[in-house]
Amino acid sequence: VALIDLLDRLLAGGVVLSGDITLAAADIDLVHVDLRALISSVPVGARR
Amino acid sequence: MIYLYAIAGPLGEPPEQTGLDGAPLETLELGSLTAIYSWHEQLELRTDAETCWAHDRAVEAVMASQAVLPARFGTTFPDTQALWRAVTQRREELQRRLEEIDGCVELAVRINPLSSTDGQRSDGRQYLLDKLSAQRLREALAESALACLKEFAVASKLTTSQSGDETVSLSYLVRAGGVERFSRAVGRLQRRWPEFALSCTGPWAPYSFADPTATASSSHD
Repeated sequence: VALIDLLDRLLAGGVVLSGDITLAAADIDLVHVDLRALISSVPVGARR
Repeated sequence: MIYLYAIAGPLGEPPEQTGLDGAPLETLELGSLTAIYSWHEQLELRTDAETCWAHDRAVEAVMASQAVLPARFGTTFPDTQALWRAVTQRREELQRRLEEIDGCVELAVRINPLSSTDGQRSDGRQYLLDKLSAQRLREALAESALACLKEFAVASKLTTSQSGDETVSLSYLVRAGGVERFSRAVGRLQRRWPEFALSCTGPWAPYSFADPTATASSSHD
């Protein structure tokens, strides 16, 4: 849960400056596909 | 190549924390701001767990002593001059945002229905109705959660979650001293909504509230 919460923030949040975002969209999709199975059941009160 | 982790106020020495590929953190002073980065001859950015945590650890090493604006994961510059130009162009708004999030952390709330409609799909029409119903449920959930937890946060926003269709993902900017109070409020919400699984993780650096130009953020001040 912590990892998917981190990913949601890393990939969609943060300050966007005028540098290059080197990550390809396909890479992001693959990570999320891999993670879906992990979060099918979310434990209550899970904390990092 | 420079990999950027965060923007902060005056920092002095870089934190004793390594960044991506074990590279040491370095700092670039830009007037009242500091950019925290690492230098790489070559960098093949991976989206594995270790790389993501390495980015986060570098951000948190700075956050341990002061307010920080995390950079978007994967932000690179060819050299320090390019970094200097990028930060200088937005110096005032970055400075202002840094002051606004000072003393705050981000908490992530995730809401999942305990039962799925996957097994009930009898035909295409039913499938579409189920999807529509799930969408309405998510919207109602997000609205209710935002309203219920609003008083415990400085700001909140619906986060774009990539984790699955049925998940509602919310981000809250909370005063550092109010984390336990917020956590208890999530616990109360869970007891009110036994048909859903709620999780609350953090405290995170304020990733979802870092960009001064980001929209859809609801301020509760």
